[in-house]
Amino acid sequence: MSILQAWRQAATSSVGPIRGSYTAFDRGLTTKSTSNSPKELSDIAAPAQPTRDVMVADVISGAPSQLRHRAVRVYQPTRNTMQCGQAKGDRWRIDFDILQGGGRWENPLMGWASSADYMQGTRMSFRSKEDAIHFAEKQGWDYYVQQSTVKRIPPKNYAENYLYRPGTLRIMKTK
Amino acid sequence: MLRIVSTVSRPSSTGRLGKVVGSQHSRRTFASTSAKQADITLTVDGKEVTVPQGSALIQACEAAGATIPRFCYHERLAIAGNCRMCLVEVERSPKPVASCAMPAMPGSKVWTNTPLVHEAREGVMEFLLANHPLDCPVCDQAGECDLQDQAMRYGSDRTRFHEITGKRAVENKDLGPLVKTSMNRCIQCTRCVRFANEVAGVEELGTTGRGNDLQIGMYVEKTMDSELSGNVVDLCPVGALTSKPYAFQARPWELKNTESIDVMDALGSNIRVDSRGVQVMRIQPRTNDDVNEEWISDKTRFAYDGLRFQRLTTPLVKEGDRFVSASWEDALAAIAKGLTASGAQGDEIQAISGHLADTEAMVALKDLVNRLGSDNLALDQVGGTAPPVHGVDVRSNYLFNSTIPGVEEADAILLIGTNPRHEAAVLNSRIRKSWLHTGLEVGLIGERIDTTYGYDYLGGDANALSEFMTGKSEFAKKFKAAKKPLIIVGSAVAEHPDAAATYNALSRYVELNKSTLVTPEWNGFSILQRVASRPAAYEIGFVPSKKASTTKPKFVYLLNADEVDPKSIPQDAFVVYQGHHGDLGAQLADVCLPAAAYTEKSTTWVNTEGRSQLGRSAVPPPGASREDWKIIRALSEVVGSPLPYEDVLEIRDRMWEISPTLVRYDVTEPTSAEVALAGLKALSVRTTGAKISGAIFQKPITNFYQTDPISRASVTMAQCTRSFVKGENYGFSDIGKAPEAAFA
Amino acid sequence: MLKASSSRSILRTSVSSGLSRSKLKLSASFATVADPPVRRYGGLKDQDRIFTNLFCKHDHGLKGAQSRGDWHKTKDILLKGDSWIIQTIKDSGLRGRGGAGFPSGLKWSFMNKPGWEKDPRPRYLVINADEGEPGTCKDREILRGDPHKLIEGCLVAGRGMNATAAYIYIRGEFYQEASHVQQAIHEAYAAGLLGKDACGSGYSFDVYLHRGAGAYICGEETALIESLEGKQGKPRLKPPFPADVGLFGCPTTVANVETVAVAPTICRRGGSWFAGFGRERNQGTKLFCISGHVNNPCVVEEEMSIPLKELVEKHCGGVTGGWDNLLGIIPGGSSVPVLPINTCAEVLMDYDSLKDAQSGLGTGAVIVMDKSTDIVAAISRFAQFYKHESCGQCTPCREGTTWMMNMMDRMVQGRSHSREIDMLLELSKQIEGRTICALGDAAAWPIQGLMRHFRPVVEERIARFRVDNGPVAFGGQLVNELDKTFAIPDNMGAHLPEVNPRT
Repeated sequence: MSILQAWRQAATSSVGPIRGSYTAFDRGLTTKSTSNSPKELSDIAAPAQPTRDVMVADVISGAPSQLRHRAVRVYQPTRNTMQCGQAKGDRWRIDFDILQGGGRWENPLMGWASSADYMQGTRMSFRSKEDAIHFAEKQGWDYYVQQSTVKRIPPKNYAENYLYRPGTLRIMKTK
Repeated sequence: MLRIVSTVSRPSSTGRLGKVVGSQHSRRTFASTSAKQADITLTVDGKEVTVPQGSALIQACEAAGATIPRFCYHERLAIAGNCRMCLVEVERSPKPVASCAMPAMPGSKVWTNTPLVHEAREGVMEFLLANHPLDCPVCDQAGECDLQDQAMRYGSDRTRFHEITGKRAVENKDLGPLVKTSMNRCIQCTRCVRFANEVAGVEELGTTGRGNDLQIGMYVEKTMDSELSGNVVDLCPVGALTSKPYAFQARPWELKNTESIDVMDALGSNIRVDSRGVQVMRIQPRTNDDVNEEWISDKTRFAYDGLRFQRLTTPLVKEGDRFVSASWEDALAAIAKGLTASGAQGDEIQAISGHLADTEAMVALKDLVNRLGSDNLALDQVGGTAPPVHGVDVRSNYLFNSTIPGVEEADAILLIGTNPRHEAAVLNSRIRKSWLHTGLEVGLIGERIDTTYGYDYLGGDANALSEFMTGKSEFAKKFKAAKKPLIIVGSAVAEHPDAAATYNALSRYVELNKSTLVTPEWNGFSILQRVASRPAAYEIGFVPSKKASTTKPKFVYLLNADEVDPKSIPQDAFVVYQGHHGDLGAQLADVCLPAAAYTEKSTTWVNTEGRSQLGRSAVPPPGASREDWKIIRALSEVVGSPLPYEDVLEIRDRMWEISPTLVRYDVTEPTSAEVALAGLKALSVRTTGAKISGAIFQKPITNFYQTDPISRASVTMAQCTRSFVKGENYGFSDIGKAPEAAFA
Repeated sequence: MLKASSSRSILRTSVSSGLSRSKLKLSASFATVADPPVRRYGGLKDQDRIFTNLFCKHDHGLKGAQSRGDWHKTKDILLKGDSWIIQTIKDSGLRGRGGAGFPSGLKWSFMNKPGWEKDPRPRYLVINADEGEPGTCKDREILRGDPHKLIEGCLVAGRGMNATAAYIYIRGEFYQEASHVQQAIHEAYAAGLLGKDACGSGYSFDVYLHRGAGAYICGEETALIESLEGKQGKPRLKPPFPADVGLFGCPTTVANVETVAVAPTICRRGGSWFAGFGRERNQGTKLFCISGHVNNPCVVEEEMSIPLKELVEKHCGGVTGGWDNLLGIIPGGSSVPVLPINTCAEVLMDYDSLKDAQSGLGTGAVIVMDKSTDIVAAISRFAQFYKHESCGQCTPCREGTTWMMNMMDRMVQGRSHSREIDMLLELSKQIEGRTICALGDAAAWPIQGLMRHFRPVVEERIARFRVDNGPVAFGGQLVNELDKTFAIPDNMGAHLPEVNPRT
C-alpha cells in the first residue's frame, strides 16, 4: 500500500540519469507500457515461424499489459510430503512471479492478508503440460517449463530388514 | 500490439529461460541397476501389471493404478507391515494379505476392492480410531492428515467405542525445540522410529512398552538430537509429531505453496515455501530423488523465522557513527560519491560475494566491477581474497562429481576435512543408508566427528593423507580394492594452510588410480561445497586474479558477505553492503542496500554438483528492499557504466554466455573423464612442491544451526543451539507440557 | 465308548481334510463290505514311553540320562546323514508339538534346499523353550528331568538340517530348568558329545542356551528370533520364512522342545514305531498336561488320539465331583476355544478331531473346569492375559485385545447390553486373521468359543444385571447414571429395548 504508492511517487518524480535504473527495477510495477521498446520488437520479429499459429487472447481480454512482463512457470506440483496421497499429482499448473515491491500487506490488527497482486489468487490447473503451454502462449505470457522430477523408488522388500550381510553387524531397528 | 510468442519462435529460448532438458541428459539413470532385475507380471483388479522382481505388492498395486491406503508403509523407509491398513485379497490366500510386506509374485491375482478387503480395512480403521482422540479442531495436522482422509473412506460415521474405561492417554515426550509431540494421537505406525534409525541415525528413538501401552519415545530422557529430526513431522501420518515453531500458526488450506530451492547448504534441496500473505509460515521438502529425496535438514526447515527478524528494509547511509535511512536514489548517489571520493582505481575496487548471493547478482556484480576496471573479486571465506587452490578453469576440480545419488553407489568413501553431517545433512543420510544396506566402508581424515555411521580414522592432517596414499593401512587397501571408490573433499580444505599440498597429493592419487576413480561412468573425486553461492561463484569465475589479490582495496562491495573478518577491510575503504539482514556485513558498511532473501526472489542457484536450479519468490521482499541483481543494475547506471541487461531474461542470456550450464536447469552436466584428468594434472603441476605444515583439518561448522544471517536471526535456531549444541535446557522444551488451551 | 458311526465320520473328516482321493475310495469300499475294526487309542505302555524322567525322580545328569538310553549310538544316527534323519522323521508322522502341528519332517527339509551347500551363511536350529501358554507345562518337565533328550535331539535334528549351531531360547522364569539344561550342555561338551567332533562323528555342532525375559509373545517363532538377535521380541511377517531369512539373516528352523526331544528316540526305534501310535496324520505319543478341576492334575505321556474323557479319567482321577460335574474343557491351552461337556465326551485328543470340534490340540494343555467355575470370568481372564501379552506392533491386536478385555470385564458382571455380545464377536472377527502373528487369533478364539457354547450364561448375566441396576447403555454406562442435561447420542443404545429371547 504505502510502500507501493511511495515507490511510484519516487519513480515518477525521479529525474536524470538514474531514471533508467528504476525501470529496470520495476518492470511490471510502473504503469508505463514498455511494449514499444526496441528490445520487445525484436522478440516479435522472431526469425523462425511458429509451428502453430496462436491467436493471442490479449487482443480482446483487456488484461493489463504489464501482466506480460512476469514470467510464468509451468510446472507439476510435487506431492505434499505431509501426506501419502497421490491424487491430483498428475496436473500441471501455471504460477506467476510475485509482484515486487509491496504487492501484499497484512492488516496490523487482525493479520488479514491482502494483496495488490491480482494473479496470486489465481490457481490454474491443466491436464497436461501441453495444455498449460498452449494457454500461456495464448495469453502472450513469457513462460518456462519446470521439468517434473523422476521418481525412483527401488523395489521394496520386507526381507531387506533382516538379510544376512557378511562383515560387521550393522543393525537397523525398525520397531 | 499483437505479440506472438511461442517456444519455437523464441530467438534464444535455451539461453533465456532454461532449456527443456529431459532426464536422459542427466548423468546417470538408474537403468543400469534395474537392468539386472527381471520383471514379473501379475494381475491387480483384473489389470495386468509388470513390475521389477522383488517389488512389494503395494508397489504393483500402485503401478496398476489402485490406491492402497497405508499408514506405516513409506516409500523411502524400511517396511514394517504393522498398521494392517493396506490389506488386499490375494487369490488362494484365505486371509487378507498386508500388501506392503508381501512380495509381488508372478502370476498372482490380487483384488484391492472386494468386500473382504473393505471389511478388513474398516475393521482396522475402527481399531485405530478407538484410541485416537477427537481433537481434529485443535490439531495441527488437520487438513493434511492421512488418518482423517482415510477415515473418510474407511471409517464409520458413528462410533461403537463407548467403553467406560475411556481412551488411552499417553504422556507427551520432549523431543527438543523442533518437534512437538501429542502422543495421544499416535497410531504406532513407527515411521518416525524407522526414519530415526535408518536415515537420521538416532538409535535412541524407539518403542517402549507393549500392547496397548506401546509408546514412541526416546529410550532415555533426552531430546532427539539430529539434523534431520524435522522430517518426522512430515512422516507422521497423524498429528502426534508436529512442528513446534509452526504450532497453531496456520492451516494448510490457507497457505500458498511455492516450489523453490533451499540455500542453507550447497545441496540445493528442493523445498516448498508455504506462505500466508507476506509471511513465510513454514518450509516443506519437495521430493526430488536426484537431490534430497524427501528430506531436508532442520536448518532448511525451521530457519524461516529468521526471515522476519533483523531485516534491512530501507537503504541506510552512514552519517557519523549511525545509519540514517535514505531513499534509493540518495543511497545510490552516496555510493557513487563514495566511490569517487575513495579514489579507488582498478583493482582497488573489491567485491566480496557471500554465502547467500544468488547467481544473477554475482554475474551482475562481476560485470560491474569488471567494467570499472577491477579484477578484485573475493569470496567470503578464509583466504577468499586469494585465487582458490583448485582453480576455476575445470569444473570437476570444485564440484561434487560423483553426483549426490552417486554416493549410494560408492563402496568405499574417504572423507577429507569434512563433516557431511553438518555441511550437507541430507547427503549424510545417503551415506548412512548405503552404510547400513551395503558393505560401504568409510574412512576419515580430519578432525574427529560424530557421524551417523562407523568410520576408520586415518589421522587429522595432510600427513595422514600421505600415509593413506602409501596404501599400507587397512582402509587404504579396501579403498584400493573398491570398485567405485569415492573421495569427498570438504570445502574447508581449500581454505586450509595445507590446501596446496593436499590438493597436490589428491590429484596425484587420483591420477594413479584413475582406473577406478575417474572413468567414463564414475568420477570418484568430489568436492563437497558447504555454501549455496560458492559453486556458482566458481562457475562464473568470481575469483580474484593473482595481481588483484595483493592489492589493498579502497572500495569494498559486500554482496551478502557476513563472514568477513572486519580486520581484513581497510579502515579508510568505502564499504557498501548489499544484503537482507543487519548482520556483521551491515555493521561494517558505509551504505547498506536492502535486498531480497531467497524466498523473495526468483533466482538461479547452483548446487555442489553443479546442478543449477531455479528458485521462486514466495513472498515480496519487505519494505523498500529489491531483488539483488536489480540493485546492482541500478547502481551501474548511477556510477556511469550501465550494465547491458534490463530484465531477468537478458541477464540469463548473459549467464548463458558465461556458462550454458548455468541456465540448463535441473540437470547435472558431467565433466568427461579426459577433461577431469587434465584438470587434475594441471592442478598437480600448479601445486608441486607445496609443503605440509601438519595443521589439523578443522571442521568448518561448529554450530550447525547458525551458519548464515538468516539462521543467526532465527529464534528457533537459537533455541536449537542452546538445546543441541550447548545441551542446555531453558524450558522451551516444556512448551508441549503446558496446557494447550493457553496457546490456542 | 466310540461308536462305529462316529468313527466313520472321523474317517470322512480326515479324508476331507487332505487325504488323497484314492484312499477315499478305498475306505469307502471298505465301509460297504464291513466296518473296519474299531481301534481304540490310549493306554501307552511303559516300554513305549519316550520321556522316562518326567517327574524328575531320577538323575537328570548325563549318567542318569545314559542309563535311560540317551546318547546311545548317537554317532550311528549322525553318520546315516541328513536325508535319512529327515526321512525317518517324515515316516514317523511327527507333527510340531508347539501348537500349529506342522509336519516336522517337511519343515526340517526346508533347510536342505537344492544347492544349500553353496550358501556361505551359517545355519541355525533354534529351540523354542519359551513355554508361556497358560495351562501348558510339558516342556519344563522335559527341561528339568530329561535335558539330555533335548540336547541329543538338538544334535540329531541339527544334523538332519545341517545346522551349524543350536540356540535354546528358554523362558526367563525357568531358572531351575535353565540350570539343568546348562548342566547338560556342559556335560555333553565334556563328554565330547557336542562341539567340534560331536560324538566322534566328525560333525561339528554347538549348542547355546539363551534365557528370555519373560514375554509370552517371544514364543512366536519370528519374535523369538528377534529377541535372540537382541531386538524387541516382536513378530516378523512371513514371508520371509525363517528357513530363508531367520536368525541374523541365516536359514533357521524354530522347533518346539518336545518335537526335538523325541527325534533321537524316533531315529533309534524307527519311524514306523512312532507312526504306530495314534490315528493317521496324528501319529505318535504326546505329553499332555492336565490342570484344573481334576483330582490329580498331571503331565503324562500318552498316545495321540486318546479320547479326552479317557485321558481325564485314567490319569487324573477324573473330574472333581464326577464327570457330570464337568462344565467344559479347554483342550489345548488358553488359545483354543472351550469345549462343552457333550463334546468333551466324544472328542479325541489329536489335531484333526479337535479341529473338527472347532477347537484345537494346541500344546496339549488340557484345562478342566467343573461346574463351580465362572466360565465368563475364566475367559475374561484369558482376555486380560492376551491384552497384557500383546506386543503392540500391529493395530488389530494392539487395540482389539484391549477392547475385548474391557468388554469381557464388563460381561463378568453383566454390565453390558445384550447386543454387545454380537459386537464382541464381530470385533473378534476383525482381529482374527488380520494380525501379523497368531496372537490375534489366539485372543479371539477363546471368546468365540465362550459365545458359541455358553452364550446363554452371558445373556442371563446381562439380564440379571439389568434387573438389578436398570438398563445399561453401550460401553457399560448405566442409563440412570447418565447426565440427562447432556444430549445422549442415539448410538449409545441407552433406550434400546433388550432383545433377549429368554426374558
